[in-house]
Amino acid sequence: MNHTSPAQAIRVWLFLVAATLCSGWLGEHHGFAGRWTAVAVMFVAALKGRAVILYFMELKGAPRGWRVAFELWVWLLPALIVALWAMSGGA
Amino acid sequence: MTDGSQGAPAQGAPSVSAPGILTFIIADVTIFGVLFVAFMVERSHQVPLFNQSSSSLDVRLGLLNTLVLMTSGLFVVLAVLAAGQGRASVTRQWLLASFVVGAGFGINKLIEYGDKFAHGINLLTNDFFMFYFVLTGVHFVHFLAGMVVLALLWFRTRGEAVDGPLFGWIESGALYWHMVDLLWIVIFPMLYLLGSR
Repeated sequence: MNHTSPAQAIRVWLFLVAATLCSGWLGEHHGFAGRWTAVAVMFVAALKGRAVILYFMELKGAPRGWRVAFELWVWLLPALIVALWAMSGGA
Repeated sequence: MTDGSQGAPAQGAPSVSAPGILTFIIADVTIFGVLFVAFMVERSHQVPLFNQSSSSLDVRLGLLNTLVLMTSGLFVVLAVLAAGQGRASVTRQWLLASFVVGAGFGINKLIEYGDKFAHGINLLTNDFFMFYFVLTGVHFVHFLAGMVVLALLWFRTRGEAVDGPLFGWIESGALYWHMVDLLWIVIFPMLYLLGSR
């Protein structure tokens, strides 16, 4: 089965920490990515959410339906947020 | 199933032992999703106000809370793995570690709310803070429920086999706890990081 091993869980956690620190830094330094900051931080959020559902919630080994439902949420919400951000002038 | 084993469920596969909790989670996160969209729509009408209000939030506290939930989530993963192997005392240690680290989120959030109230900022200040308090408040209630679940699991695992009937409860509690983490992963950047500072 696709069980998350302790080593794998720790690797996922390291990724989550690194990604969080990156998006936090980007958010505080808008000058670095400029208008792309919002896109970048929401993309990172989607990646982090995906890591949580696949490895922490172990949906990687779940029936396709569950995985699709959660992956949809994880990608759709950040995408909607970015779309609405862009439609309001991207500020 | 990604590995084609649709028959006998392996211990710990959420797909098999916890469809009920997964249904609840997908319904709950969908409702949050509607709130996220409502926030963004309202934001689109008042971008300068929302960005100005957002810039008064403490990114460091939000970051710290993200790290706290993720670390607590890792410990819950380790608790479930230990439970699957029947290691009761290790399971309890990880559940306790998850609870203790998770408590940091509550303390941090109360400090943040306290700071806002001290500055005269509340639910009625403006539309941004209305969403801020409702979104983080409803999330906080989910967090508190998760803490109660972790505590209950810790008590239940005292003297009861963790790889027996209790395993499903441990796994369901863990899935719920990951949902609290998952929601914060979106709430944090949306409220704290979208606008320029």
